[in-house]
Amino acid sequence: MTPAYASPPLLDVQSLQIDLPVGGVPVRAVDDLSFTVARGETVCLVGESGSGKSLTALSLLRLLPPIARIGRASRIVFDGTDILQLAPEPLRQLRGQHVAMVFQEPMTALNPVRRVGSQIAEVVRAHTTRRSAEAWEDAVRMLEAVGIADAAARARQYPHELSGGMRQRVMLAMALVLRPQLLIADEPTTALDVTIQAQVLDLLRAQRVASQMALLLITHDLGVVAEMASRVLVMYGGRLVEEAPVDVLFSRPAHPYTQGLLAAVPGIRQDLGHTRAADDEAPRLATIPGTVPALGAFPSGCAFRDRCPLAVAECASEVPALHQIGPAHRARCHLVREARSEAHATSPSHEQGAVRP
Amino acid sequence: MTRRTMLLLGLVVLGVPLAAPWIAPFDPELQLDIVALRSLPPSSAHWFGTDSYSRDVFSRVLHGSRVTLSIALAAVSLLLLMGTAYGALTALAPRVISNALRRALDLFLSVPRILVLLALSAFIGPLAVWQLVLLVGFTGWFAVARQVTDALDALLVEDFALAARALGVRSSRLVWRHLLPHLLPLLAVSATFAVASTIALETTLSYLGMGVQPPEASWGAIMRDGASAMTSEWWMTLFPGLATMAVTMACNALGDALRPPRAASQVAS
Amino acid sequence: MLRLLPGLATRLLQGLIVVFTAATLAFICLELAPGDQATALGEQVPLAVRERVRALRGLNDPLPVQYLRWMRDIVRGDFGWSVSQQRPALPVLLEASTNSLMLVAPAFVLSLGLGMLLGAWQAVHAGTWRDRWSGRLTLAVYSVPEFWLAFLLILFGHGQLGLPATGMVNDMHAYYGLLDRLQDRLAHLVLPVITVTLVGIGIFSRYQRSSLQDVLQQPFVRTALAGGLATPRVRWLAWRAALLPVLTVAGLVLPAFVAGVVVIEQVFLWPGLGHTMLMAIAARDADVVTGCVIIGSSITVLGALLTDMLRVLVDPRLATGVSRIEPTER
Repeated sequence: MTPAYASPPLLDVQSLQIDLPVGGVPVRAVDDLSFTVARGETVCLVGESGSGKSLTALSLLRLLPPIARIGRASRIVFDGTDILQLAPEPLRQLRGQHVAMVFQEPMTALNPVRRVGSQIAEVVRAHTTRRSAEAWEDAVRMLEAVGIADAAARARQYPHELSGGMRQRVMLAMALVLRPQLLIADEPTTALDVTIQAQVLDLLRAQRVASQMALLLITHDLGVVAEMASRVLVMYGGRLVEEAPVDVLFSRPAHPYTQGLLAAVPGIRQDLGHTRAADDEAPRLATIPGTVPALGAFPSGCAFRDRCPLAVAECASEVPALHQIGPAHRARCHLVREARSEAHATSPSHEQGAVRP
Repeated sequence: MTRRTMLLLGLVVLGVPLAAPWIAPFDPELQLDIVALRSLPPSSAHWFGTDSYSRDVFSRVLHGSRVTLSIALAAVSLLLLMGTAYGALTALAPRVISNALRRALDLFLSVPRILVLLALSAFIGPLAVWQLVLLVGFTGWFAVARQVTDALDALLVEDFALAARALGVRSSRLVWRHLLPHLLPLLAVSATFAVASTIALETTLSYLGMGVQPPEASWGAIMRDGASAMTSEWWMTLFPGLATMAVTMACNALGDALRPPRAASQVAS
Repeated sequence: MLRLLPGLATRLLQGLIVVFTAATLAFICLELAPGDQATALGEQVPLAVRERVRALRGLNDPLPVQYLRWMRDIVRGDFGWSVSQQRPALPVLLEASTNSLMLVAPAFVLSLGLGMLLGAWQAVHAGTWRDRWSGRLTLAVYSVPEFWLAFLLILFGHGQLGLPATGMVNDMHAYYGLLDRLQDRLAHLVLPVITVTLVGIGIFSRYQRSSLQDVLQQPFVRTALAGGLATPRVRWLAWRAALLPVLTVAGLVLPAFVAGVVVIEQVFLWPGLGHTMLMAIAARDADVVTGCVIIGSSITVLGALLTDMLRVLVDPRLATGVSRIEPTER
C-alpha cells in the first residue's frame, strides 16, 4: 500500500485507464494505473517510449487528444476533487494555477509569434486580476528567478531568438509563476545539453524547497531519477510494474524490467545483468533483449514476458497483480509472489521479494 | 472520403468520356430539324434541350467531356513532367545556377497565366487542340516546379539523403531511386488539382473564343454558343456549366482526400 | 521597421525587372503578330494612306530601333496612341485602371476578410456537419469557372432582382442627380463585385481552414491550455499564428485575381483593364496592349510587395530571416 502520510495525498490517481484508437481499433494504452503524490514530494515516473507515461501526464490535466478515452472507473483526485468530473471553468482555473505542466519540446511548445514575456504574463492575467503592466513585471521577475540573465530584455524577445535551454526555462517560468501546488514535468531535460540539464534540475529542486511544491517528474533517464526522486514508479506496457522509494529501487529492484534497466546503465549494478559473457570474453554491456512492442501489440499476460529471461508459463496466461514486497515497495511479477512465499518458507534472512537470476 | 467513393468518382470522371459515343442519344453535330427543333427547352426527348442549330445539347455535353478531359489530362501530364524536371534541377544544381533558376521561377509565377494565354492565342489565331494542350501545359508548370523544389530542399537535408551522399551515391541514382518515390504523394495531389484548374481554364478560354474551335466542342465552346441568349435560352449555359462544376469539384475533392489527414484538436468543438 | 529598408529596395528592383520583362514580351509578341497599327486602321482606308501612316510612325524601322524608341517614350510617360479610340493611350489606360480598381479593390478586401472568417470557423468546427457542408459549398464556388458563376448571378440577380447586368452606369447616368448617380454606380457594382468576392472567398477560406488546422496541431496550443487560458483566447492566439500562410497566399493569388477579373469584365462588359486589353488585342492597338501589360504587372508587383511587408509585420520569425513559411496547399 502507499506509505502512510500525516495528511491525505495531494494527488490520488485511481485505476487510470486510457484507450487510444490505433488504426481504428481502440488499444489499452494505460491500464489500471494507481499512484499518489504527497504534498512537497518528488515522484519520478520512469519508462521508455511506449510505456504510457506521457499519456498519463497529459491525462492529469485532461489534455489528451480528443480521440483518447479515459475509463469510466478512473479517478484523478487532486486536493479532494476529481479532475475528471470538473466542469470546464473550474478545470481552467485549476490548470496553470494549482497544477502546472512543463512539456518536453521547448522548440515548439511556445507560441512563435508572441514575445516570451507576454506568454508568461498571459498566464498571470488568466487567473488573477493583475493588470498588464503588473503581469509583465511578474513575468520578468519569474524569468530572473529561473536564472535568465538580462531578464527584462529577454522578455521582449520571441522564442526563436532564444536557445533551447532558455526556452525550457521560459516554460518553467510560465509553469511556476503562480506557484502551483503540483508541477508535472514531462521529460524536461531530454532535449537539452547535459550542463543545461543540471541547471534545470537545480531550478526544480530550489522551487520545490521554496514553495513546498510537489513534483511529478516523467523521465527515462535513471540519472535524473537518482538525483531528484524520493519515490519512483516504473511503467511498462501501460502498467505500473514497480513502485519503491528511490534508495530501495536502486539497491533492491524487484521486477526483472527494473533490474534490466539498472543493469543497462554501465557502472551501476552489473550484478543484476542477465546477459552473461563466456568465461574468456570481456564482460559485455547488459541489455534487455528485444524491443518495446508497439501500441496494441503487447503480449497477453505480463507485457514484459517475451523479453524477460525469467518468464514462466504463468506469465503468458495471467496478468500479474501488484504484490507488496516491503512497506512502500510493490512489483507486478508472478515470481515476486513466489519468492516472497519461498522466503517465508526458508531462511528469514533471505532478502524479501528480490528475484534472483 | 472513402476509397470506394474515390474509386467511383474516378470511374465516372474517366468512364463517361470514354463511353460517350455509346451513351449519347444523338450525334452531337447533327442538326436534327432546323425549323421545328430549334432552341427548345429541356424535355423528355431532349434532356438538356436543343441549341440554335437544333443540335441535342445533352449529346453535345457528353461528347464535350471527351474534348475537355483529354485536353486536361494531356496538358497536366506535360506540366507535371516539366515541373518535376525543373524543380529537381533547381534543387540539385550548384548554388549559382540554382539561385538563378529560383529567381526565374519567381518571375514566371508572378505573371497572370490567363493574360498570357489570351494574348498569345489572340496573336497566333485560332488554335488546334494540340496547340492548346502545349500552351496550357507550358504555362502551368510553375507551381508544380515550386512545390517540387521545396519538397526536394527539405528531403535533401534529411538523414537518409545525407547518408546516401556520404556513401557516394551518384546524383542521378539518388534522384531516381531515393528521392522521387517521396515525391509521388505530392505529385498525385498536385495532379488532381491541376486537372481541376486546367478544366476550368480551358472552359474559360473556349468560352472567350480562344480555346477549342468549331467543329470540336468542349463545354466552354457550348457555353459560348449560348452566351448571347443567356437568360432566354438558359439551358445552353446551365448544363455545360454544371458538368464543369461537377467534374472540377470531383477532382478537387479527390485532391483533398489524397492529402495526409490531420488529428483533431483540443480546442475544436 | 527600419531594418526592412534594404530588403525593400531589392524587392522594388526585382519588381521593376518583372514589369520590364513583361512589357518587353508584350512588345515582341505584338511585333511578331501579322499586321501592325496601320493595318488596324482597316481595309477601307486606302493603302497609300496606310503606308503614309507607317512612315510617319516609323513602323518600317528595324525592330531594335522601334524597341528603343518605345522604351524611351515609356520612361518619359508617353504611352503612345490608341488607334482604336483615336486618342492618347495614357488616358485610356488610366480610365481602364480606375475602373478595374473600383471592382477589384472592394472584392479583394471583402473576400479576404470573409474568407478568413469562414475558414477559421470551419477549422474550429472541423469534422462536424457544419464544416462538411460549408466546405462543399466553398468547394463548389472554388471549382466553377468564374464566368459561369457570373452567368448564374446574372440569371438570378438580373432576371429576378432586376440588378444591372452590364456596364458601369446607365445610359441616362449623365442626367442623374448626385444621389441617383451614386446609387446607379453602386447598383452596377453589385453583381460583378459579388462574383469576384465569391470566388475569392472560395480560395481564401480553404487556405485559412488548412492553415488554422495545422496550427491547432502545434504543441503551443497545448501549452496555452495547460496554463489555464480560456478556449476562445487559445483559438484567437492560434488564429494569429495561422495568419501568415493566408497572407502569403493572398500575395500569390493576386496575379490570379487580376487575371480572373479579365473574364468577369468580359461577361459584365465592365470597361476595366482586362476588357480594354482584349479589345485592343482584337483591334491591333499595340500601344494600349503594352500599356495594359505594364500597368497590370505593376499592380501585381506592388500587391506582392505590400503583402510581403504585411507578412513581416505579422510573423516576427521572418524579420530575422528565418526560413520562408509557405502555405500548405496551392
